[in-house]
This record gives sequence, structure tokens and C-alpha cells, in this order.
Amino acid sequence: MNKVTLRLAHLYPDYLNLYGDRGNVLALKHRSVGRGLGFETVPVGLGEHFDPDDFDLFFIGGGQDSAQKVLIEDFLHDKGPQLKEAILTGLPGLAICGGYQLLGKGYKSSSGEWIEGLGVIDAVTEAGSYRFTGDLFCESPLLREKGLDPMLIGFENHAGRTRLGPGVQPLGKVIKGMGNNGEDQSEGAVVHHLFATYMHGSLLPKNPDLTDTLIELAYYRRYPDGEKLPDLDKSWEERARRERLSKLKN
Amino acid sequence: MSSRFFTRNPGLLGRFRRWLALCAGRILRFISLKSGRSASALPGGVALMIYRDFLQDICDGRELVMVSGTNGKTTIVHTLSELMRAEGREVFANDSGANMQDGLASSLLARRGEIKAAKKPLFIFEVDEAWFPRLTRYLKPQVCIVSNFFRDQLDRYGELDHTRELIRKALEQCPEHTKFVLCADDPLCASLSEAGKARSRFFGMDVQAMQPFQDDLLLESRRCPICGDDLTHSATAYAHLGEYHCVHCGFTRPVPDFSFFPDAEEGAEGLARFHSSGEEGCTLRFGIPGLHNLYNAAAAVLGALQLGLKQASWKQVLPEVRPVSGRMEKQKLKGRDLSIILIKNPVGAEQAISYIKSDKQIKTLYFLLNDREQDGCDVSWIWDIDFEDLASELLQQVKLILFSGSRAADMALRLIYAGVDENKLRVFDTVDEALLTAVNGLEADEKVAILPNYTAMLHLRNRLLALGAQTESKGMAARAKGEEDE
Repeated sequence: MNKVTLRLAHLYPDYLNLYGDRGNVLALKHRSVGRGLGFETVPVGLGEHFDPDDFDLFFIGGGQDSAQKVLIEDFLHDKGPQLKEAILTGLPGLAICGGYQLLGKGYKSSSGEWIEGLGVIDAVTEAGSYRFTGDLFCESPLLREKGLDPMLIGFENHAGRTRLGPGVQPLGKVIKGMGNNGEDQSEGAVVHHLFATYMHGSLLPKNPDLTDTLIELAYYRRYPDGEKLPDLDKSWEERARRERLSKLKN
Repeated sequence: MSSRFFTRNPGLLGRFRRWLALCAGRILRFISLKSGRSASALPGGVALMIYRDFLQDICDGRELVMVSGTNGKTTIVHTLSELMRAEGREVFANDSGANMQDGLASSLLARRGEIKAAKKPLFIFEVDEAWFPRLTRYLKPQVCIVSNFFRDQLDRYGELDHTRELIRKALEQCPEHTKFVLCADDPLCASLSEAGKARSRFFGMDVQAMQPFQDDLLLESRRCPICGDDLTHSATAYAHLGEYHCVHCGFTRPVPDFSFFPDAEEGAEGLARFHSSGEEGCTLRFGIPGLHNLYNAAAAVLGALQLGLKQASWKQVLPEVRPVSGRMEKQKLKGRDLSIILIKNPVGAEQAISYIKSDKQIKTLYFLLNDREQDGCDVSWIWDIDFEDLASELLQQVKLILFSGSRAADMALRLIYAGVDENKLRVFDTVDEALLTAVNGLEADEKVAILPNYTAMLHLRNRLLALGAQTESKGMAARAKGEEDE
């Protein structure tokens, strides 16, 4: 097999990189390389040209409110339109916390100000009066359908309360923690191959099945008839998962 | 003022409640110590519950310094204490774990006899960032020192902007005479002088000693803290500390009142020229290694100068200061040298690793990572440590990497994702097993570096004591340790 290199666009890494979100990029790289692929991470910053056709995957992390304000114009006008089109035609990606909110319809801040989002996810977020902080565990129907362990493990830390529009599939059902809004047990959202979530932690290192799912989506999108990727040991990841799951039982 | 524990005079009812609070606090302290528990928070907490002015009544009219910020608080308090003791002052400082209101009250309660006997006690408090604004509502410090702002335990404080806002509020509430000692090289910290320009003093590194600006992935301060516009950085000391200015509003790095110029070769070992602005200064070796500790030394000296320290005396004291427990502490176990370096955020961890790389005899690393409440339950910061650049060099040096603690496997995974060979990694259930494995595999002149976070460090020190390890630090450090054990 000729070496295939996956290219990941890391959007606004200077501004959106809270709570170890960078670990997600490291996880995608580690497991791609482990499964025989090349992997290239390209930071795409404020004011920089972005063409989603150059990429197989994208990642957007969470940021402080002030950081999100700085880049909103650039995001909505210079990068958003082509990103939206790419997502709707199957570009796989992961969006965490602030990145998730930016991809929704908009955010109503605590002062009542409305911040427009890209609207690729039918979701509206409103600032709550206090932060949801703590372990977040949820069950993913997507992983269950694939016959994999459905439990996703992460840590949430957000003031936003997000409500999904009718017909939007959540990423998972909350087992422990608050998730989207603390009320309807939904956590995150899935739109085509975009996974959006409030889970920091970092998320992907402790959820290798989700990492592999993203890698495979990216790989087969580029090479629909590509050879099957080899499996990769995940015993260290499983060990870190057990460490967290033991807390769920207590 | 001698022979008094309380210096403020409330009414009759207040005096009665205060007496009850004191009795309750002393009894609880006695019971806690007798039953082998820590008396670091509960006695003070209960005393404050009974009589909420308890702390205020002790500190009223006495000299007080408060030290806050993300990294370096403990080292600054310790160094400042040594500087002032050398001046003949009777210093009362809290130990590092007790930096919230209950802990402060408990640590004063513990030394009630000495405080009563002291002619002119000087209180030096390390203060938790979240507690700082609540404490300056009623405490009136002479000097407030703010070390820096890094990401740390974000689940407890929310985001970095929020932490800065807490400290800004704390300073704003201080009385008119309070002096502020701030880091010139950290824009988030230096801009706090807005709370009082004329009474702010700055410490920092000489610009000539800085590196050309390095665009760090984790740069915290791309935006001007005053106007929100882009901040222009022109030189880097480490992490986001360096020289900077804002084209938009004119905010610029202040010229430090006290600064240091690290030695090109041995700066990481503490060798530097320290000087007040416009003076030649003095080249000496600060007793606590690590570049970041030069900042702490400068902060402490500048703080001491505000309290009336004589210009020359810091030159004798700085080389004599020894590390506080867990801050580059050295111990010996079964004839092998151990260096213990507390890590609780990415910048601290990166500093620790660059120290380890500077000592090629360190052949074993041992990470202890817990996720208890005092550690901040969120340990996601380990993914923000830039191990990727450090991994290859470190790997050639280190033979074995050990892990324990409630998040041991998470830490191990972090290193695997940085490209570390998994055959070098061992995860242990107990500290004892890990420690013995660490020292048994070493030649006589080889060393271990131990990197615990906060609660892991407390447990580690107990186990080291039980296994018969010896502390190398002596003199001042032993005295500091004695205080902690009281």
C-alpha cells in the first residue's frame, strides 16, 4: 500500500485550545501513524486562507469567551461558508465546547448579547448562571451500532446550555454529568461526519474507538476503495479508561 | 502591642464570641493532632464560623504581605520570609497547602504563643487566587505580590481571564497605602498596575537576556489585557513571559524596578546577576535552581525592599535559601539522590523537564498524578504539556519512567502519545513499590527525578519518611520544615 497521508486542519489553535483539547490532535496522529497512515497537522489561524478541499479532517477546540469574540468575524465570513459546505458533503471533524457553539446557530451571552454562529448544527446555546464542571460520561449509539464499547469518557466545563433542534442526533446519552443542558440527557451533536461535544479531558485519547472512527471516515472518504486499515493495540488507552470508569462505579 | 494575640477591640458580645472561637479552635487543634490528623484547616474554619472577624482581629494594625498568582507563591513566601528573618523580623507565614481562609486562621492559631510573644510580627500569607478578593475585603496588606498567570486547575477558577479578574478585584479593594509588586514580563500581571500606578513596582528579566520572540502554541496573552487588541511580542523569557507592547492603546512592558540577568551557562542552576534599576547589582547563585525561580527570587527581594529591607542584605541571603518541600527538594533513599519537583500545570512541568535535561545523571523519572479536589479534578492540563519537543532528547537520557496515583494510566498514555517507547514505562499501585523500583535500578551516581502534583506530593513525603529517606536540605530549609511540622 502506498503511504497515504491524512491532513488535518486545526482551526484557530492559538485561540481555541483550552483544557487539553490539543490532546485530540495528538490522538488522531498517534493512531493514524500506528495504523500505517501518514499524518499532517496544519494550523489554520486568524486571517489565514482556508480551503477545506486540502484536508481530510478538521478539529476546532474550545476557548475563552474573549477569544471567541476575536475570531468570530473571521470564522463567519472567511472560513465558515466553505467549511459548512464541506461538512454537509461529509468532511469528518471534531468540535469541542466553544467550537461546538460556533458551529451552532448562535449563542446568547449572559448579558443578553446574541452571537451568530455558522448554523451547520441546528442548535441554540444560552449562557447559564453557573458552570457545569465535572466528569461527563455518555453512551454513543454510533459506537454501539458498530459493536464497540459505547461509553464515551470526558470532563465538562462550560456555562453554555445548548438545545438541539428537532431531528438533530446527539452524540450520546448522558450517563453521568450534565451534557448539553443538564435537562434532556443529550450530549453533543452529530451532523454527517461532524462530531460536536462538550467533552474535554482530552476526549480522544481516552476514547480510541471514536478516534479510529474519525480516522476511518477520513480515510474512506478519500479512498472509497482503500484497503482495510490494520488494527492497532489500545491496551494503554483501555487502562486509562478503566481508571476513569472505576470512578463511575463509586 | 506585645503579649497580645488579638489587636482589635470588638464590643463585649464580640469579645465573648471571639473567646468561644479561640477555645473551639484550640480544642479542635488539640484533638486533631492527638488523633494523628492534619490540623491545617478545620480549627481555623470552626473559629471563623463562630466569630467571622477572627483573622481580622489578629492581623489588624500588624504588617501583612499577601502573595498570589499561579506559580511560585510558595517559593516567594519562603524566600521573602528568609530575607525578613535575616533583618531580625519575626515572620509568620502559612504553609503552602493552607492558603484559603480556614488554613490561614489555622496556621495563625497554631503559632498563637509565638505571635503573642513577638514584638512586631510580620505576617506573610500565600493566598489562593479565588480567596484573594474575599480576604482583601477586610485584611489590609502593606504589600501584595502577584507572581504570574498560567493555566492551572481551571475547573476550580473557570478561565484565565476570570482568575485575573479575581486578582484585579482583590488589589482594587486594598487600602491606599498598599504597594503592589508585579511581574513586568507577564502582560496579564503587569497590567494590574491599573489598580494603582504610582504604588506599583515591577520585577522581571533583563530584556538583553531574553530569547527572540518564540511563538508558543500555548501563548496565553495574544490580546492586550487593557484594550483587547492584538499584543505585539518582541522577546521571550519563557512561556508567555517576555517583552511586549500594544500598538493600539500604548500599553507596554514596564521597566522593572528589580531585575535579573541569568548566566548564559548556569542560569537554570540559579546563577544570575540581580540588580535594582540603574545599578550594577550582584552576581550570585540563588539557592533554588530553575529559571522560573529567578523570577521568584526577584519578586521576593522587591517585596522585601517595600518592607524596608536594606539594599545590601539580599546579596547574602539569596544564596542561602533552600528549596521548600516539593519545590526542587532533594532527598536520599538507599544511597540514591532524588529530586522532587512539584508540577501542577503545563508551564511548571516544562520547566521541570528542562531542569531534568540539564542534569544528565537523572536516569529515572517518576510521575505521581492524583485528581483529588485540591489537585483540581480536571487533569487535562497534562495534554497541554509540550512533551513532543522534549520527548526524543529526554528518552536518550532516561532509562525508566514510573507512574502512580489515581490518574497514573492517563499520564502514561500522555507520554506514549508523545512518542515515548512503552517498554520504558511501568505503572504501580503503590508509591513504595515505585520508589523501590526507581532506586534499585540505578548505579551509584545516578539519580531519580520525582514529579508529583499536590496531594501526590503530600503522600510521597510520608512514604519517603516511612522508607527512611534523608532530607539533604539543611539550615534554613530545615527551619522551614520545622515550621510546617508544628
